[in-house]
Amino acid sequence: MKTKHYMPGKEVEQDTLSHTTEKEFGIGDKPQFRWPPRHILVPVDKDEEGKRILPFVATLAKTHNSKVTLFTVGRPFQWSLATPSVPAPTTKALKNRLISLMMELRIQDIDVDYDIIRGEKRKVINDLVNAKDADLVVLTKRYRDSFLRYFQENELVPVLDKIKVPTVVI
Amino acid sequence: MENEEQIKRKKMTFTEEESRESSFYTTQEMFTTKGKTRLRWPPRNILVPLDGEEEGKRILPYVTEMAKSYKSKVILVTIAMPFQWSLATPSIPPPTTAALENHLIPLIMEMRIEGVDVVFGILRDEREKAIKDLVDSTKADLVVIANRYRNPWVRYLKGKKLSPLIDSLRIPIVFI
Repeated sequence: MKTKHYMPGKEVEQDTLSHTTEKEFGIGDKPQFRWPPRHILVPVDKDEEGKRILPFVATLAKTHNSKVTLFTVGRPFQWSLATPSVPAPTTKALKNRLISLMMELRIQDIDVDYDIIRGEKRKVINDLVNAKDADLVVLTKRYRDSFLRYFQENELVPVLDKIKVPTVVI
Repeated sequence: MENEEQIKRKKMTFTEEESRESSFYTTQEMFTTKGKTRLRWPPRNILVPLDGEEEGKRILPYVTEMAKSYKSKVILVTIAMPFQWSLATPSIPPPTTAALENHLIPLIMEMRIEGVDVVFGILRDEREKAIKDLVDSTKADLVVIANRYRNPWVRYLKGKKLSPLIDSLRIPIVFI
C-alpha cells in the first residue's frame, strides 16, 4: 500500500507496509496462522447483513494483498426451526449470489474464490479453515429479529470457539 | 519573530499533515438493524483487554505485528475482578495489582522495543462493562480479545457473557 508522507518542503512516497515481515503464530511448534494474513475466509449469509462486510474485507485484502474466499454454509435439509416458512436456497441460487459478490471484489483487483458447503456452520467452518489454509476469518454479527434472535445469538459464540485462527467480528 | 512566510509554511505543513492522516485512515460506517458500526481502518487505537491470566498474554506477539502494520497505538488494560472469589477459578485468588503490573511491564517493554506505541493500565471492574466503557473513553477502533487458548470450562463461563458484549460493541472485535 502506497501512501504519501509529507515533510516540510518535500513529499515522500513510501510503502507503509514495507517494514512488515510475515510471522507465524500458534501453540508450541505448530504455526497455525500468520500476520499479515495470506488468506481471508468470509462466510456470507444469504441475508443483506452479510453483504455489508464486503467493503471492510476489500480494504483488509488490499492492504495485505491477501486472497479472499467467500463461502456460504447452506442448510443440509429443507426445513429449519428458526425459519420454518423459508425453504433452504438451492445450490444454484447460492452460487449465483456468491458470484455476484465475488465480482464486486474482483473489480477492485482482489484475488477471490468462492465455495458452498452444506452442513452446520459451527461444525464445517474449521474444516474449511484447514482445507483452505486460511489465516483470518471475518464474521458479521447476525441481524437480530425478535424470533430469530434467540437462535442466532446462540450460534456465534460456539462458532468462535471452534475456529482455530483469529476471527474478526464486525 | 516569525515572518509571514514562516507562519504560512507552518500552517501549510499542519494542513498537509492532516491531509496525510485522512488519506491513510478512512472511516466507514456500516449500518446494521440495531444501529451503526463505526469502522475506521486501519485502526488508530487497538484496545487489548487482558485478565491477568497466562493464556491471555499469548496474543501479544500477534497484536504487536498488527500494530506495527497499521502504526496503531495499543491500549493494554488488565481487568481484574473486584472481589476475592471467582466461579471460573475458585481455587486461585485474584492477583494483587502490584503482581499484575510486574507481569505486564516486561511484555510492554518487549512491544516498545519492537517500536509499538503502548499505553497500559490496570482496572478492577466487571470485565464486560469495563471493556464497553474503555472503548468509549479511549476511542478505540478495534478490540482484540484472547479466546482460543483457554480451557473449556473457563471458556464456557466466559462465553456466556461474550454474546452480549459482541452485541453491545459498535467496533470490530478480533478473537484470537
